[in-house]
Amino acid sequence: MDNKKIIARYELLRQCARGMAFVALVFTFTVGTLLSLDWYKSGQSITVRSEVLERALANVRDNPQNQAAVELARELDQLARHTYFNSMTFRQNGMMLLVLGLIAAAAGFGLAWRLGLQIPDPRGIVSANPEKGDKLAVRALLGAGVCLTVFAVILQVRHSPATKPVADRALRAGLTNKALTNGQQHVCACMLGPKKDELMEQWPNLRGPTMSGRTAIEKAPLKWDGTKGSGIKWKVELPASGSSTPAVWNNKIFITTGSVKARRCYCYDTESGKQLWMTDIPDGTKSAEELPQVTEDTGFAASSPACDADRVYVIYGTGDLAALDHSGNIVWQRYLGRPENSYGHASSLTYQGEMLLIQWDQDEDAKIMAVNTKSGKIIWETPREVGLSWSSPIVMTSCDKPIVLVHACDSTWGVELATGKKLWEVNAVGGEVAPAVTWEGDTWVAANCYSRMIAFKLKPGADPEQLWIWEDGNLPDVASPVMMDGLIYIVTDSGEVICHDLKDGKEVWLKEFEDGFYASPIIAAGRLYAVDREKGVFRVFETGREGKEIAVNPMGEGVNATPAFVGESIYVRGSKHLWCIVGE
Amino acid sequence: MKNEDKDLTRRKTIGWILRAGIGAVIAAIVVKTSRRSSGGRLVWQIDPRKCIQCGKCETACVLQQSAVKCVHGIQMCGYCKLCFGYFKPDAPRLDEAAENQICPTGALIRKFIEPPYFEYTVDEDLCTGCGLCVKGCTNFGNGSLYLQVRHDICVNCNACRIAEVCPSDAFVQVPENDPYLLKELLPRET
Amino acid sequence: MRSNILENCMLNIGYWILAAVAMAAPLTLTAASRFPQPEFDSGYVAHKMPHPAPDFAVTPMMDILILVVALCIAVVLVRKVRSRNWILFFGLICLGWFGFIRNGCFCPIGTIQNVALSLFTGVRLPLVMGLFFAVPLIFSLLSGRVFCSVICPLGALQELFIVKPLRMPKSLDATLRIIPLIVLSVGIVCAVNGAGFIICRTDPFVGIFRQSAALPMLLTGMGVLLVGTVVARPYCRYFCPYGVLLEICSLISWKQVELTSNECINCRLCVGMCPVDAIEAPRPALSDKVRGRQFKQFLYLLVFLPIIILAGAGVGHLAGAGVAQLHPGVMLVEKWQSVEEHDEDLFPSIEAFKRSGGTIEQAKMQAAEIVGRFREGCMYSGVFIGLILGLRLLVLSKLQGRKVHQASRSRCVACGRCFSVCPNK
Repeated sequence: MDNKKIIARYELLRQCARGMAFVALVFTFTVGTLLSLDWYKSGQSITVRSEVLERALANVRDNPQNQAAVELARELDQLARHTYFNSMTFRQNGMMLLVLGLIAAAAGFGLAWRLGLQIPDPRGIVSANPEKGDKLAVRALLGAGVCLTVFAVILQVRHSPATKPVADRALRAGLTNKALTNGQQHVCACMLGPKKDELMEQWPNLRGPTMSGRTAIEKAPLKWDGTKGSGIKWKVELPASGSSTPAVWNNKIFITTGSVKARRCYCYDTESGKQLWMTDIPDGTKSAEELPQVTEDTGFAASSPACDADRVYVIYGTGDLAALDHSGNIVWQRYLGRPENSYGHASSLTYQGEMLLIQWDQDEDAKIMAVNTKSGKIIWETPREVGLSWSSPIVMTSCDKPIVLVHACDSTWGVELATGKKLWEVNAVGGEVAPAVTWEGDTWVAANCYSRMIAFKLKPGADPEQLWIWEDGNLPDVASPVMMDGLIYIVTDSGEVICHDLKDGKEVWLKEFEDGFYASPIIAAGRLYAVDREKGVFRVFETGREGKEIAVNPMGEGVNATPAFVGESIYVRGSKHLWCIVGE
Repeated sequence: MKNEDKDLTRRKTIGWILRAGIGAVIAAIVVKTSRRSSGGRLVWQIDPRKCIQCGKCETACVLQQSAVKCVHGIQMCGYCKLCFGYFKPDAPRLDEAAENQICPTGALIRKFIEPPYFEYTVDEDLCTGCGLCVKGCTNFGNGSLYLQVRHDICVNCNACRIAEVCPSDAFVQVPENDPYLLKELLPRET
Repeated sequence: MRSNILENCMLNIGYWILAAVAMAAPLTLTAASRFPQPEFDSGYVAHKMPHPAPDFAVTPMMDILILVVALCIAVVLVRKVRSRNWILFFGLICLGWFGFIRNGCFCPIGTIQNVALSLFTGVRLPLVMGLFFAVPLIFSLLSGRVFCSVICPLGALQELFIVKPLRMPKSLDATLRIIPLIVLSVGIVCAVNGAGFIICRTDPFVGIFRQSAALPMLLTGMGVLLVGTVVARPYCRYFCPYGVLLEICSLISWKQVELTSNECINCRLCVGMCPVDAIEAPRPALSDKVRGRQFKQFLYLLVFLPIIILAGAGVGHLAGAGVAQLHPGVMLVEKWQSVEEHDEDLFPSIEAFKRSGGTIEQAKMQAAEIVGRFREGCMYSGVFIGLILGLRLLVLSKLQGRKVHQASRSRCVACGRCFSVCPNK
């Protein structure tokens, strides 16, 4: 009897446990359904921002005086925040309840099972003929294997387009060994430095942001007179000599000067011309080696500096490369070695997306290298066997992958920007090569006096195609050519300004002047600006097939450095002064 | 009988050889993989120098409220009156009204100190980790606002969901005893 | 939509900054940051933000120690105490600790990927993780899969939901048991080649442990638990990649789970009780005829084994391209090819790649390289899977009889149900 009572009590308990388990299950399902509904309604992630709210806020932006709109926006904002935090709490609590319900159900079932423990009847469970089961299992396994194979073939067929082996080994070599993950690619994207548009408004290095001598500026001074001071915002006397181009970023102009005594970087304010700071760049040669011999014409500061939003980068004929912040503190410095060069090192820094490209065509150890602007570390360097040159690397960004044109005597290289790998080599011009090339679209043109002018067209994955050669007439000695809309403009050291046709290289027009040009001509606001090295007469021409001279602006002192065009001003480094020209 | 005994010993020996072999492989794996490691655990953190404020931290976290929050490196702050992390670029007025603030939840708190300076603090309970203020401050201010994984909230998944979707690989694993990458203390260069 | 708004904002800010910079210009010259830190006249002192440290409750070595002690207790419970109730009770404690307190992360199952990643790429691995991976395997080498029923929070959770387990037909069971092999292989290939931790992503229960997850994941977890009421421990048997490793160790383990501490009287009670079909019933010795047939099958399969392995390699190589679809670099190309050119900017991954100077051709090349690596990885995986499948096939051709009931070395997870029903204690 007692036994029966106990059994009955156990049975009751078991029923209770089972009931509890079922209730918990129903509860869990209800919570799960509610959560799912919420999910379905507002998706995986809830945010405060909503289209309605954005519209209301936009309305406030457009009519800031409309009090009703403001009130509405605030009310909606309040509501949105409420809803956001409420639904957060709702979900959090929901999940908690879900898990609790699950645990309760599990506990209930477990208890019920323990209380009503009945050992399953083993009869009939154990197979009388286990071999049969084994045989079936073997067949099933083999069948599964066949199914897997079919599945794999389907996968192969579906996904084969993206898996074709790569034929172009040159392109492939450009990839890093381990393919970049998405994230790394993005980092690379960020590493490319300031946004292109921002860069376009600055003068980060020689011959402007595109390094082609052509600018996107729409307004530029037309008339001024340096001898009388009209159209000149300010001019300041330069403390030391040098023929490098000023680099300009926002409101700062950077100038490098160099003498046997000291190599310096100066910073001036664009508004007032006030000198903001001056920094001495100490010699990198620790061994008190003698400074390299340079000609007077070249000097120690013939290479133009480069700059970006945080830094200015300077290089001197002594082989010293340094980065300064915009306050004049040296951030890093690197000694590249003693330039072995008959005239002196004159190749300028080329700034390209957190990289400085340096053409180091010296007698010994010639190379092209890329230096990280952040750390001063060498990213890549490619040795070269070429004669001396004074030209600067130019980056063509118009193609799929940016290509660096490294231009020297009888040998111009196309180098992959990312890796420094030499893609091709052509023989462009001979002689002592100082002018850089110019480019537009996929065409580039090189010219050097006593040699020739030559034009090439880039071919993806192949050597560039030579378009024509022009060997008559004078060609530039120092100044780089510039091209726009199918016309090439060159200025020579004997005082000519000549326009050629890009189609065939034939001369379109020619003007002769008294004094020769060293500064590279610049095209700004659709006009060609050229300034000579003796009297410093700024000549302005209309671009086009007529070649009308529209202004003659005397400076009163010779100019060797290529002028910088930023905003609506021209910054000119004369032989004695730094000028800010705004025009009459 | 003797044969069976022999068989048994042989089986046993083979068993031990196998076990020793597999045990050795496992031990070798552990030794090889944990060479040079300190033994401590690693936790997830955002490298603020890599972060591009894409907004995924707010929504990708497995937790309902993301473990990523905005922190303020006050040593770097300029106390600007016109804070680019606080005000919308086209805010009609420079006051604390909701329509002028970038922060959608009002988690960035602005307090006047003395002309012309204002102090900014983050209310972590309200912060959703969306990074809108960080974007403004990084692009146009001193960058003193930045995102960090808050370790009182983070559950340290082995495979962090945000790290998986982070477009700039800003999520890194750092030792548990130095679990923050505070921008004000980091060297400037990446 | 949102990104558009952001872009607009940023543009506007651009104009602002010009004004701001002009205003602040004299100040910015001396300081590294755009706006210098002011000096306060009012005596204001800045309060630095506190940064809470991670709360792990225990030190890493303590973590390992707890795991080892728990495993030791489990071994004692299974081998000496032999009580289903105690095993269940201790399982609940472990579920609380490893599951709900430690949030189920990290667990030995997930550490497979960390270890593989570290092994193949040289990434540094914390010792505690390596040990978390190794310790249960070592224990399994010594005394079978005691980890599964008692320590593993996933196993303990499923254990609670076994209500009326059904017997799985042997053929279906054998087929389904291929899945863990595939999960293990694909998980390792993905982890090593940078496609993320697939094994962690497919853990259905971690959301329950931390009570926060994407709802589909949580519902999947509940679904698995519900299925588990009739098919005992579905995750352990038909998905868990760590189970594959434990199984290998357990097959050659020193000690194994013993159904009874005395002599087996072949009452068959335990067979009906076992939820995971892990009890091997006695078989009569084979007749010569049957034995001959079986032996022939065995020989066929033995000859077949190298072919299976080779086929596995081939299948793996073919499937590699499909598996590679899990890699973001390959996904990028898929997406890129499918979107119209003017829509490309809508996808941050494409935009990011383009901004890095990459073209679709480069992306394709990268993808091709990734696919190549996946093919290689999957080929080796195929060899592994082929080998295991081949061995399983061989084992199915049984030649010898068995006199008593025995716990299967590979399947038994030491839940202890058989102990409770054994009449001959």
